[in-house]
Amino acid sequence: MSGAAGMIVDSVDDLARRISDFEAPPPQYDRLYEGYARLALQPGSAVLIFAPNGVEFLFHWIAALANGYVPCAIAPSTKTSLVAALQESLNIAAIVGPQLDPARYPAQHFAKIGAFNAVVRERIPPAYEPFDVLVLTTGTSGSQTACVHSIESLVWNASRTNEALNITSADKQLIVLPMYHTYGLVTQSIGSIVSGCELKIDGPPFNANRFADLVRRERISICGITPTIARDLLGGGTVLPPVRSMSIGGDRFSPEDVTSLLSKPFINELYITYGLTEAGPRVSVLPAHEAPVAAYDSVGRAFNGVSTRIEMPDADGVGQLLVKTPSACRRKVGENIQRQPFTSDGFLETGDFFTKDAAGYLRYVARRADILVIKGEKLNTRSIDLVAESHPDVEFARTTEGDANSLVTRLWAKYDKVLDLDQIRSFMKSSLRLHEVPDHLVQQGKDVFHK
Amino acid sequence: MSSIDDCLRDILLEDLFIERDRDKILPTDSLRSDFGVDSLGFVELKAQVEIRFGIVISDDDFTPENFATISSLASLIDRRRSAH
Repeated sequence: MSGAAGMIVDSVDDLARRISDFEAPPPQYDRLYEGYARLALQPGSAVLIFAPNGVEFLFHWIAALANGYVPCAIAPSTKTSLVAALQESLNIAAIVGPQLDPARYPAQHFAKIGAFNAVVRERIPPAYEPFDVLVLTTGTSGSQTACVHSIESLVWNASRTNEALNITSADKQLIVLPMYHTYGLVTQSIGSIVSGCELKIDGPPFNANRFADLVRRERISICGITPTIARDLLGGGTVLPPVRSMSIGGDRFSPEDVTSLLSKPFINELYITYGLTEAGPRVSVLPAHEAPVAAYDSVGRAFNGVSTRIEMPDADGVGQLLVKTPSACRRKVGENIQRQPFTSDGFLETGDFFTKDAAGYLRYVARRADILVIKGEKLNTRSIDLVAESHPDVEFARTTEGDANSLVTRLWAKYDKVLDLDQIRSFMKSSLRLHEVPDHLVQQGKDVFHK
Repeated sequence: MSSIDDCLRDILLEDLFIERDRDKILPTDSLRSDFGVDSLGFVELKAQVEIRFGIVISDDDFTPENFATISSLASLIDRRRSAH
């Protein structure tokens, strides 16, 4: 077992004493460990875990890892059709979750691990190494791709974040963000294992007043939120009890937002961070509470040990951000991965366009054209187009951002048919996650050019 | 309350595309654990409840406790309708 994997597994007993959620007490970790062992998968076999935020999810994730399997967390709302597709594209050997209905997965073996159901495919050769971790890149690279990380690199990244944010065993951290995303899983969950801090896990729905009450009641000192939640807190005039450190994933956080948050008496330390799944995930941090005002429009400077450069900057210094970090993914896997996102000298291609000033501050400019952030959620428009184009009446689809941050998909019909847009919307909704479902479907005539 | 329960089942099946047979959606099932409703799902569920029942659910009522099960959500809807 690798050093990082050993550290995580050895910490379970201690973790059980300093972690809690609002559900019934989770099953004993040892029983989960034995349940995964009984699946008798080969080391390096990938296990898809879809479960809501909670201690139970994290213990399942660790138990799978401890058995030499490769855990892959996924949103609990994921539809069976996507899970089935992921089984193929990512060589998933088993699926585990509380709401898993074995009847929807015919001709496979079933087992029970704690309160969760497990579905095991016919034996397939392992596609990964023991103590690898799969992290889905649903938002940025399409719906059926993932990054292969080593647990070593994720622990390295979580440790750098802890250092940058001064998180120690004296802290108590609150998780309100999804644990199937890298921030909740790596930065907060693994980060808490590494730092030895207490961890309180809450699940949806998010409510600003409840958040404030939790911070107060649980004496939370560390919390991480999204720009959307931060604006909700600001817009609603929510008053929080003092928190030592608040961090925000911030490429869409404005200098005005930073100034507003810093003016709140309950914020002591405010950190704006930038990251992406491929980088493991965090890349840079702006400690806004001690940064010059002129840097409020940035995502700070790269972590210690992380190098950045701008690829082929234009006259304004804008170009793709390249990142060289010890926590970069080993490779990307899945459907339609035609090349790995690395330069010949080992820099990760982020797909995000930035500037970098002489002091090293990184300023976000734009994303690759097929990536949108709608209602605070990142999505890949090409994935949505592909779902629309799988409808038998649709020849071509193009998804873009419309007015008021809405999502609009324009459709071109086969054979000049008049499209039943309600039916197509239902068809798309059955495959997409809710934030990927277009707000508006518009049929285009053949005379409207597309490419 | 059974008509409220039935309407909530409709919402779960038709708007949230919960993958469960209608007769297996029980009032005491957890919306999070048993049906996999996530943060955006709860926002959609709240919006549909407000439309179909003609009520407004305040932020203070948009809590994990009120949105824990069909039964708890039906109780909230009943209270909000009685208050009108």
